[in-house]
Amino acid sequence: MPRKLDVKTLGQAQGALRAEARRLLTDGTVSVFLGHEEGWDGLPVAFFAATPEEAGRLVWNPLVAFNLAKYLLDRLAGEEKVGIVVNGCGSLALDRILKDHRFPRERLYVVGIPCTGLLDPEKVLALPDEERERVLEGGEAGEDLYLKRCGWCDAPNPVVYDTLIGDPVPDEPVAQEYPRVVELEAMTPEERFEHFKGLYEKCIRCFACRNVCPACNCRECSLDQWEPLWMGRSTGASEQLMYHFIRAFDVAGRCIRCGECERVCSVGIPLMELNDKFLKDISELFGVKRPHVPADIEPLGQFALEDPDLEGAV
Amino acid sequence: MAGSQATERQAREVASESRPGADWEPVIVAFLCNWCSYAGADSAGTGRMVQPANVRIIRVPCSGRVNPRFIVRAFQRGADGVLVSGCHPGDCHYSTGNFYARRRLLVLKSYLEYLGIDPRRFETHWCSASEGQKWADIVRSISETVKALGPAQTLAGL
Ligand code: SF4
Ligand code: SF4
Ligand code: FES
Repeated sequence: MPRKLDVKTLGQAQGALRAEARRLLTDGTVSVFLGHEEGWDGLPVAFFAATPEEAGRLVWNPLVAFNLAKYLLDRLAGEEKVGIVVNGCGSLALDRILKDHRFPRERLYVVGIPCTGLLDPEKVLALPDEERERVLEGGEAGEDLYLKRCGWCDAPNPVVYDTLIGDPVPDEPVAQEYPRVVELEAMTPEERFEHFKGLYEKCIRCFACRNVCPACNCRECSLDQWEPLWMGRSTGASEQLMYHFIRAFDVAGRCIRCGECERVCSVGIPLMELNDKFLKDISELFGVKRPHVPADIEPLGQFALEDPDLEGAV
Repeated sequence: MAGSQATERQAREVASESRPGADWEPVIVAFLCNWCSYAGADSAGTGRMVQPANVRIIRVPCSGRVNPRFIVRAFQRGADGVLVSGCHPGDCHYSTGNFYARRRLLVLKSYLEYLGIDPRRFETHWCSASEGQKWADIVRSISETVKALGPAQTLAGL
């Protein structure tokens, strides 16, 4: 269930976040602090604050939807220490990068903020002015305004942090369910083939889904390589099939179920249909209860002698 | 680049071979591990066992080398069936390669079905170097199964 927005706590958190970032930048603990600032259209954008004054530009509000962790890869070079702010799902994304050994923990200072739910920025932006104000200032948001992932979130409190701002929020287990996958599984293979063909045909290959994904963090993406040429340069369902297979399979077992790929898709492709199938299968086949939570060794990076056998057909 | 052009050409050949017709024969791509199944296939051959000619063998060092992309690529470029075969669990030349492969391919098999590819078109087997007869049986059975299913639905050319 979506959490209940708490505008007052969010406001306090923003103040405390700015103060903490200012402190870290002043005493030299970090040389930059990664957070959000307000973009030209009012939506938050990623922002590296480099001076104590710039810390005053950091924002924390119900719209800080995208996770910041991937921007750390832009700071790989050098020895400087980087500060970063995360909420619950943001910390899963950060943990993904850490568990994949893509950024050294020693070079991080993590400020965590427990999360009371986030809203879908695009949906909020589309609201008439007065209503948007009521939502953002009064915290009166209908369930449909929340991010999809808030509905299945079972990690509202940061899992990685050095300082925590505010009190942890109640954190009940949420059963991970995959209703859309179940629906699709009930269709015939032919129907599914047609369904997914429509999906591939629609894709314009902007790569936004890959670029936003915290699990897609390789140094060089095999989709960008010429040799071997995994995805041909001509556009069409066939090459897009390869693209979507590679994207989804390569994050299978490492996907944190943030739903960002689906949210940022330029043409509205429901990408979670693909990711969730892997999450569901991994939990059913190998008994992983929270397959979206980063682990030291991921399900597809290990095996058990008693895994089901697959010799022969079906 | 030459390499990939050659692969493209081969792929087109495979695709055109599998066009349906009166005497249509399925094309089945088989990934065999060097240490057991490839040797098993070899012993089926040297033992002069009769087997259908539908299977195109690709030798890999270990079933753990089989990237699931290989299988999707084969289907994408017109294969009607795909087969992966390695050493029996516990017998892998690299000790555990086939255990990792098993996990990956289990997930893949379910996923292929989800994407609408008939699961009977994709098989995994464990076949040792001395099991020439088993290999010949595998080839016969998958050839018959896939032939009965007809040409695979394909996205090639879309
Ligand atoms: S939900 Fe999408 S963006 Fe998020 S980790 Fe999974 S594949 Fe990546
Ligand atoms: S974001 Fe959407 S359109 Fe862009 S590559 Fe991904 S699926 Fe295709
Ligand atoms: S060497 Fe045969 S499966 Fe690993």
